Amino acid sequence: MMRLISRAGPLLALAVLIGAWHIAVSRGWLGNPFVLPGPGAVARRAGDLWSDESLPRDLRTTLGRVLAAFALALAAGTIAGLAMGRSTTARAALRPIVGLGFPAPKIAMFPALVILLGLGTASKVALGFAEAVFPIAAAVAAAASRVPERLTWSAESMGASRSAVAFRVVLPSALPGLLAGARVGLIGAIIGVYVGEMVVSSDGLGHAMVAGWRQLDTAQLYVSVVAVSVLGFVLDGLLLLARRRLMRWAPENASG
Amino acid sequence: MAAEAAHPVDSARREADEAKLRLSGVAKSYAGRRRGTVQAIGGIDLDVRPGEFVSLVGPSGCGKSTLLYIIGGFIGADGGSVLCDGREVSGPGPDRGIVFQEFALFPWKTVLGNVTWALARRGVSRKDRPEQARRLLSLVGLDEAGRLYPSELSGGMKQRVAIARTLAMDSEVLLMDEPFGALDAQTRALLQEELLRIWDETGKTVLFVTHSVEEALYLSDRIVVLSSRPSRVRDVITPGFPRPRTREQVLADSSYAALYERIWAELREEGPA
Ligand SMILES: Nc1ncnc2c1ncn2[C@@H]1O[C@H](COP(=O)(O)OP(=O)(O)O)[C@@H](O)[C@H]1O
Ligand SMILES: [Mg+2]
Repeated sequence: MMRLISRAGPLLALAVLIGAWHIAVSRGWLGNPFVLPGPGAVARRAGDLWSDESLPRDLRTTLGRVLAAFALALAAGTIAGLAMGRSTTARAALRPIVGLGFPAPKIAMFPALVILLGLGTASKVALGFAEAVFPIAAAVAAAASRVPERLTWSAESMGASRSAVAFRVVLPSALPGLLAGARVGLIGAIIGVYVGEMVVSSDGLGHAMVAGWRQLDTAQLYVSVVAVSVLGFVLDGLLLLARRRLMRWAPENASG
Repeated sequence: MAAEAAHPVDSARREADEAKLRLSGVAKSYAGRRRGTVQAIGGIDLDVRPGEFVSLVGPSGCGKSTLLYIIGGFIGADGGSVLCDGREVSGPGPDRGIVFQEFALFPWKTVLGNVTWALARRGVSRKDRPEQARRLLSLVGLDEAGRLYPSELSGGMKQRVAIARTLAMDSEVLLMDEPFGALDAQTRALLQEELLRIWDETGKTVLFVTHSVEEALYLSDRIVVLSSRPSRVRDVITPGFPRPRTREQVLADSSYAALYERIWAELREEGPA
């Protein structure tokens, strides 16, 4: 029974939210329904946009960019994090970059990225990458530097090469930290891509949002907002699923 | 030992002029937490012959683990040298297997996976690994535990997996840091006998750290008593009980009580064991 409630909990909360939204709009508590259209109007607009193919196209575009940005950030962040966590030279070289890059507002680099990479997909992927790579690198570096010394010693004494120690001992040992960083990084990738599409783009969910706003089509604006939220929710859920599979060895499945 | 019988001249020459392990003036200090240094090892000279079983006993904190780490090549000594087969030890290597006091199992690998990992590093073919891993696990009495993860094991079981994993390396030198410390008396006795049998069959050279004087007397050719920090070799005892030996024979030997008392008296003088 508790299980059922905890399973149904998110759906229940969502239903309450949508219900409240509906009531607030229909009672006029939020002013003009043009400012905030009700859930019914947004759903109808979503249906239109779905059938005229523009919503599926924007979803595919944004999803592709997010996955590309995330995959690149995961690879680069993991390599950089392992290097920083395990080698003092790499740490000395990379720490200033991460130290400056992590807190910097990545959107500030976007104009430069557009000049460099053009108006198309590459600049959005680059912004998503920039948002995602730092939390991943920082999390992997922290986890890699905390790998128990005896584990790497054991591997070395068995004759493991430097790269075998890095990828077969340090990496799995740092996996909990890596996955925590990847979750933050994934959200960063979504933010980066979406914001990039908002600023300069001719396609993608971010562009659809801005287009709705400019054309005073507020229903379309909210379709984009809901779509990107659902996208984030689903990708995050997949990541959690992957973590549960990858972390079966952990005591009590220490996730959280 | 079979190898010696096959090459009597060869092995006799090796034994005469070449120790398996030769420690000369090994010293080690650690940087203290605040300021200054802690000298753990004051200067240790020790030769271990090929195929010899040597135990190290000494007060806790005197640097026994540190000494094994130096021989293993994981940390460097501040002074002196360590030779293995006449070559200066400059890093870890599969010629010196080690069983750590903390087990150091890979938590993301199953019991079988941990042992298989060591076999793979040694170049055992993928096809032969499961069979050999199972044989090693059965040697330490863990036939049923192969699919469990380390987090699902008791301390004693972890220790046995660590032993099996190190045996999988098939190194000529075995460094063991209180390997039976977490075991109940019965398992401990069983594994002591098993270790003696493996040692006898394979002719490995064993350097064995223990807190148990009884264990040292039962297993060893020689027992090295270390002084408290900064440690030096305080005494070397050669029990000389005949081999192959049983526990009962050792306990019943006329010299057992005197040796036991001598080692204990030395440890008592050095401080808390
Ligand atoms: N990494 C380290 N840093 C600082 N001091 C250490 C370190 N490892 C061990 N020591 C100190 O060195 C001494 C010897 O430690 P250890 O070799 O573990 O002794 P034993 O195994 O004989 O109990 C102890 O006083 C211990 O506190
Ligand atoms: Mg110790």
